[in-house]
Parts: sequence; C-alpha cells; structure tokens
Amino acid sequence: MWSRVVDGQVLTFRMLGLNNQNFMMTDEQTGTWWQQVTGEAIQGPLAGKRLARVPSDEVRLAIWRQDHPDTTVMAYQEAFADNYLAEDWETNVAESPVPEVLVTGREELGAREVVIGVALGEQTKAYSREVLRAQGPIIDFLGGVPIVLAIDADGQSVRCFDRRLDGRTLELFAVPDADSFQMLDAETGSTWDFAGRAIDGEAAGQQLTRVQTLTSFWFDWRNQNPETLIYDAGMPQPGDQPAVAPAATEAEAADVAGSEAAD
Amino acid sequence: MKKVALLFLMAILAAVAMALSIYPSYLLAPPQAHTPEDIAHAFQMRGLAPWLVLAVALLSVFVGVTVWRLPKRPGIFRRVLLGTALVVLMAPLVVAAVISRGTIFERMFASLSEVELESDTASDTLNPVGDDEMVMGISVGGASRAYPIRIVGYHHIVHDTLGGEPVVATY
Repeated sequence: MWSRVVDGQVLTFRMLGLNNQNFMMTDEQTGTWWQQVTGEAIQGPLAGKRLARVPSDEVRLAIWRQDHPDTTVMAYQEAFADNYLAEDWETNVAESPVPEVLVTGREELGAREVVIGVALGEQTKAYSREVLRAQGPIIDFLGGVPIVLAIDADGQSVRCFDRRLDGRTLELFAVPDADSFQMLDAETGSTWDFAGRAIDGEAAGQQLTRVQTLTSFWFDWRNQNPETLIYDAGMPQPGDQPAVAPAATEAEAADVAGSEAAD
Repeated sequence: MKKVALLFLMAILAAVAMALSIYPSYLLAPPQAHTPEDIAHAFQMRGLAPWLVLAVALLSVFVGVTVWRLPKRPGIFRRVLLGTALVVLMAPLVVAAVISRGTIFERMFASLSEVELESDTASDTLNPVGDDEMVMGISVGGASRAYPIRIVGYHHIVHDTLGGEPVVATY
C-alpha cells in the first residue's frame, strides 16, 4: 500500500509490464515507471524517488475487524465476478511453472515458496511461511532489533513485532491449546495476543510496536533483496545474542523500528 | 512492375510499424529475466515507439501517393483494386499507432480508479466479504479499510482515498 502523493502531486497509475516477474506501473501525470513491490521510481522524470509506504496488515478479515471495529471493507463488484482470483489462487500460482528469473545462486528455498520478508536497519531476512507455521512464534534479531514473528492458526495471517518492552527484551513462546493465538513471555510472565497486546500478567495493557512484513514468493523477495538473510530453522533461538553489539546500535535500531513500525 | 515493388515496400513498412509498436511490450513480457539495462532500453523504446511508428506511417503514405500517381491503365475496376490494396496496406499503420501509445499490459489489466465499499454495494451475491478471507488492511487519518486480496490480486492496481490521503493498493 502506497501514498499516491509525490512532491505534492497526486498520481494515478496504470499497469505497464513485468520486470523479473514483478509488475511495474506508470503514472499518467509524468510517465515515470514504478516498481510495484518497492515503490521505487526506476525510469522517467521521477526516477530515484520512492512512494511513501502506508503500513499495511495482511490478515484474515475477522482479525482485522477485531482490531479495527469501525473498518470499511472494499466490496466485490458484479462486473468483475468472473475475474477475481479463485479462493485457492495461491496453490494454483505455486504450482504454475517456475519462470526464468535472475540467477543469483540463491536457491536455498523453492522459487515459489512463500516467505515473510522483513527489512530492518541495513538487513533484510526471509522467513519461510512453512517454518513459521511449524515453529511460530519465531523470535529473532534483525538489524540489531529483537523481533518476534507470529502466525495465526489460520496459517496465513502474519504479524511481526519489536519485542522490546521498557528496556527489556522479551523471549516469547507459543501458548499451546489456546482458543486463539497467544504467546507468553518469560520475563514478565504476561500473555500476549495476535495484536501484540498483553492481555494479562505484569505487562497487561502494554502494546508491542509493529514491524512491517511483506509476504511474497522467495524468488521475488530474493530478486528485490539480493543480500537477504534466510531464517535458519535449525538454529536454537531463545538466548541468541544479536548479531550486532546492542550498545552500539540501540539508538539507531530504535530509530529504525520507529520509522518502520505500523501504527 | 514498379507498382508491385512499391506495394511490396508498403507491406514491409506495415510489418515494421507493427513490430515497433509491440516491441516495448515484448521487452516487458514474462517470462524473461531483466537487468536494469533491459528496463532502461524498454523505457527508451517505449518513448520512441510512437514517433518511429509515425515516421514509418508517413513514409508509407508517401509511397502510397507515389503508387497512386503512377500511370494507370483505364478501367474503374483496376482503380478500386489499387485503392483497396492501399487501404489494406495502410490500415496496420493505424493499428500500430494506437498500440504504440501504451503497452499491451495496460489494456489487459483493469486497474480500478475508485473503490466500491460493502456498505454501498448493490451486489449481495458476492458480498459480504467472508471473515476468513485474506485482506490488506490500512489505517490512515483515523479511518480504516480492508482490501480483499482476491480483488486487488486481479486488478493489481486499486486507487482510493482514505482519511484524506490518496492511496494505491498494489498486489
């Protein structure tokens, strides 16, 4: 999701074509070419500019409604009834032939494996959704920021949070057999819900800061982020130390987390 | 013989114009891999294509007029035949001129210029959106809105204004 305002000008877009399987759009006002997934202007008068990202949440409608009871919902239109993606579109796409993509020697994951991408500081990292389903919530460090990735029981709704609370870094674990998604932290003994709110315990009422995620196919994430790290499913996570010394990057990391976080 | 040669030249010009008009789309088509240089080349060709097609079209018109002015044998039938041949040979140039104004993908995908909301829709066969459907949710200026991924995934580009902010959903 992007703001359409660039330097005070409101843009309207059209589909243009594909750049390594990710579509580009062109705006009618300046004819600039924009890469959809990064919001970056790559050719034309506005080349080098970026669309401002509007923090977005990719979840089931029921979950979105819980946190935003007043939400409006975009409706299906009769005129396009035959065109909308099928309910199992993701499976269909995953089974379609793998396109020729830039060869970068990064074939650790299947080209069309679904990954959750996170960008923090100078680092980007891909988390296999399959691994997240099996191991979620996943606690990790990225760009010096301790984060937690949570996936709902639906296996699709994903959220990421900065897991620092009042100067403490929380170790979070799944609460098994809960009616809805819950995680428990070892530091305060509080229970946290899928919205990153502590619903009981010492931290009750506190809210973790959101971190933007992007769900995409591995080949696409890899093309857009050639330096991306990949979450190693076999690595012992609890107790891991950040890759970057926390003292040096604490302020910087907090800065990054603040600017990337969803509202 | 000269007439036939010139008509053949017009046929070649028509083919060249069509190729020029489709070339930028071809450069941005699946499933090939692209380097930044490929995209820069595509951008250049996308800008040049309408002008190149126009140049080819003008050349074709010039050749067509030349053919028409060549000494003709008498008979209305021959004139109609020649006239038809000229029209058939110049028609692709009009088509090429139209195509060269945009890529074929601009025509293939119906981006939406505005959003119809559940609260406003007359369609109750497709709505309401199910609780279990995946959506992209945003909150801007105190307003929240959910965009079903099955909709945005078809249109690819959905324009909207939320909380006073012009936004675009892409997928």
